[in-house]
Amino acid sequence: MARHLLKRLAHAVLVLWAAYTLAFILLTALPGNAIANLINNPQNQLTPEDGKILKAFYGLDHPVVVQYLRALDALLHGNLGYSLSNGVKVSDLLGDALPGTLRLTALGFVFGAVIAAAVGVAGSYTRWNWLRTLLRSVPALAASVPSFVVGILILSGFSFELHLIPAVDNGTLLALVGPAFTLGIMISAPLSQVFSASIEATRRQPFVHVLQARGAGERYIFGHGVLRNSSLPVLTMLGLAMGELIAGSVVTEAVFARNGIGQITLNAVNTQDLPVVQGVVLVATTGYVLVNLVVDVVHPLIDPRIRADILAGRAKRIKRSTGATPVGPGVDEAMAPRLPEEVATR
Amino acid sequence: MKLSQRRALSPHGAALAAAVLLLSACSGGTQNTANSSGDAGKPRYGGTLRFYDPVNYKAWQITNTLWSNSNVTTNLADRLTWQNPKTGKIEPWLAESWTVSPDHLTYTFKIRSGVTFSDGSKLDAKVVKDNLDQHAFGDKKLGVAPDEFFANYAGTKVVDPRTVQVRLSKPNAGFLQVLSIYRTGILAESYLKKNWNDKGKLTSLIGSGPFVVAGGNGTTNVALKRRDDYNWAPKSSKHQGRAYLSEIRYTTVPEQSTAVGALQSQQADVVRNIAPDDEETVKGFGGRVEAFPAQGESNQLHISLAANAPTRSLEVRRALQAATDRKEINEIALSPSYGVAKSLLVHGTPKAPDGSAYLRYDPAKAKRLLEAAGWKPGSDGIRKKDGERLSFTLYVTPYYQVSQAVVEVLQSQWKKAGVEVRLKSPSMSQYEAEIGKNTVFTQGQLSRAEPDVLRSEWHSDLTNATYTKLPELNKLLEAQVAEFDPAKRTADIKAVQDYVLKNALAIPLYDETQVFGLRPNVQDFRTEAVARSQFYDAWLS
Repeated sequence: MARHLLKRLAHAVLVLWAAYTLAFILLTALPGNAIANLINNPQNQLTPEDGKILKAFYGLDHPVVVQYLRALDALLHGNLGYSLSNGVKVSDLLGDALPGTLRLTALGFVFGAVIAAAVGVAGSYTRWNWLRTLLRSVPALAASVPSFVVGILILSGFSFELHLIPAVDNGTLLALVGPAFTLGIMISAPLSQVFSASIEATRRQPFVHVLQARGAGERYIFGHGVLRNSSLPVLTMLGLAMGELIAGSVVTEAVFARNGIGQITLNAVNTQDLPVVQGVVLVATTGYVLVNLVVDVVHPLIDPRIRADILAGRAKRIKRSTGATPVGPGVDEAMAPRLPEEVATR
Repeated sequence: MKLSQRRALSPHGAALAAAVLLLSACSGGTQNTANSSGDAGKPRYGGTLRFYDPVNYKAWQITNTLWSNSNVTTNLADRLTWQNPKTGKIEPWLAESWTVSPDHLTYTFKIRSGVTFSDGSKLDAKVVKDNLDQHAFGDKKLGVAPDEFFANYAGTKVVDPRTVQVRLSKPNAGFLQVLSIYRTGILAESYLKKNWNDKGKLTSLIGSGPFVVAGGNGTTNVALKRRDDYNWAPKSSKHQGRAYLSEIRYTTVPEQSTAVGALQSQQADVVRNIAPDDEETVKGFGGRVEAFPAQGESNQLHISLAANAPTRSLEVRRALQAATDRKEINEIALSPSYGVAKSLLVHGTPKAPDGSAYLRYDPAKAKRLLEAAGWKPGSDGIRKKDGERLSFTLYVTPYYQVSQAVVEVLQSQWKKAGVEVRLKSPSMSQYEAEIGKNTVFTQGQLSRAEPDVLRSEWHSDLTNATYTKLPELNKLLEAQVAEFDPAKRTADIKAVQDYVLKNALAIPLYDETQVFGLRPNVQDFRTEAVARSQFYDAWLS
């Protein structure tokens, strides 16, 4: 298990470096940067000599390779550099924005998970056909309405008309509800779709029929078998949802005028503020890598089959080369819930 | 092409505005407490004003002319002189009096006594000299570039702690006005000593203004609080002593519909840059719309003579001028808040000459000129000459919220004359990286409530809008800035405009204007001479 973790960690570092370098290459390949644009903008009335002073000040007069190595060296010393459009330390800028975005995405995630679970379970277990049809079309609707429309509808209704939530971030928890709900709706769409499909698939599995045959109620079967089995694909989706949360925060933070990673990204990209874009890439990649690492770690805890695979890694390799059956617990048997006595004997 | 589709701050703007309108229409009655008469009784002290700006703040160097930043800095830093926005006259401020030598090269300023910066340090001749020197000469070690407005500054002598003598190497009729601009705000020594990057921090701005920085991250929000010991406002202000508002909270709200909705639901007091589309919405829910012409150049297309294009021909340039209907631009793309361009300078700018004789819409003249220049209509209506189509690229300029709507109207107008316009809508950074001497048309304007702004734009040593040296134009520009007789200078400015418009080097489009949306309880809302909100006299009823 420790070796497994170490391997994943090494992967993570590699991914971070690759993302950083790739972003650097892509951004320097584009024409212009914040300082060049500042100099080029006729409104600023800077002469070419003034421009040289500024370029030298920000170290932009060096060859690209030197700039990259200097940036990488600074990064290893924990220094992300300065924003070209703002003069603020990138680490300060991100440090200031990150808590807000973390709160937003965390609550958005909770909303998303709750909505997805409710829609998924209710859609699969409701007795009324019309409700089932309705709930099954909810994810498609949520996925196809752009989040800025959802955001503005929430704002119009709950802020401009009902005055329940503030329109613009004022630091309170209440101001978080609107944007988090917007994000939640956005990410709940794929989650609930996968969850519904997964519940359906699990309910067709033989062990469910066995349980039914033995007289277990639907609620029991769901709680002790279907939930665990059908949540695995959802867990994988959660890792992917992390990316959507970051992307979604760009729009949500703009609509709700929240300071956060999303707004910073928007501005940095607009003004080609390279150090800031680099910082954002690092933060987003770190978040993505971390969540996926957690998903990887949690997976075997939920699914004994994966745990078995990891433990029997060697056996698996043998199986692959020889076709022999690996030793270890029987796979289907491990996942089937053991019935408590009273059910079995009823 | 849809003329009615106007551009809000983001591509989503229109849809969002529609959604808001829809919802507010459904909800029926909204609070309507219209009180636009401004007759709100005696000013009241106290209260927090919430100001929403669509553009995020960038670095805070005092010379940053970004609209969002300068709307804040003008309240933080006082200047040596104050330009009365109504009369255009230069009045005393931190300099309580001055004399000018007969050769217009030496200015002796008496510095007001008892003025302190917000860090407690005193305003004296030395700090004034250090401020002006840094503007003029820059500082290589600190990464500070010289300021073009101080081009002919020779130096300052500290005569005594309250007297400075500023010397120029060439007479400059606009110099006292330079000293009145928010970007020449006098700051404490602590700011001057900081390097370029550190100057960019909000907290570095230590001025002597009626408000001081109280907090905020400096990128999406700023909080100012009143200075209770402030007692050196310009004489022409409505009151003296401390400001009325105890606090101003600036927040950047990129989404126009969020800002307008917040204004409607009384979560914001002032919203800057209301789009022409939203003006009626604001009035509809009882808010007030106040427009301020941004003195200086009118918003115009500058033509690069260095670009290899048919615009090198005078006939073609004149034809495009005649094919432009400014009244229609105003009606379709803008609103009555914006002035119709009648000059190179926005109406109200001191000494702005009338240029409407050059700017008349005359489609027949446009056709005649193009025919004469050999451009004959092709099968698709677009003119051709030696196989070349009369076709141009126009950029939607990201600095101007209304740019897309305006250039779309222009596109349809020029098409009637047989001229094709292809629109290009780049991002801010793309735009800034692409424009240059090969760009045929650059939409732009420089704001400054002084006709010498024309020299900044057209002189080949300065911005050089044509990307070409035009010695005759240079001479005219140099003559006006050395002329101190008001009547003669007015004639000189007219001569500059005559040259530019006779040669059709610029196509004025509309009077650059700042439109603010206000809650009805915001009283005595004012701007300084170039439409940046000056909150000293403002109060909440």
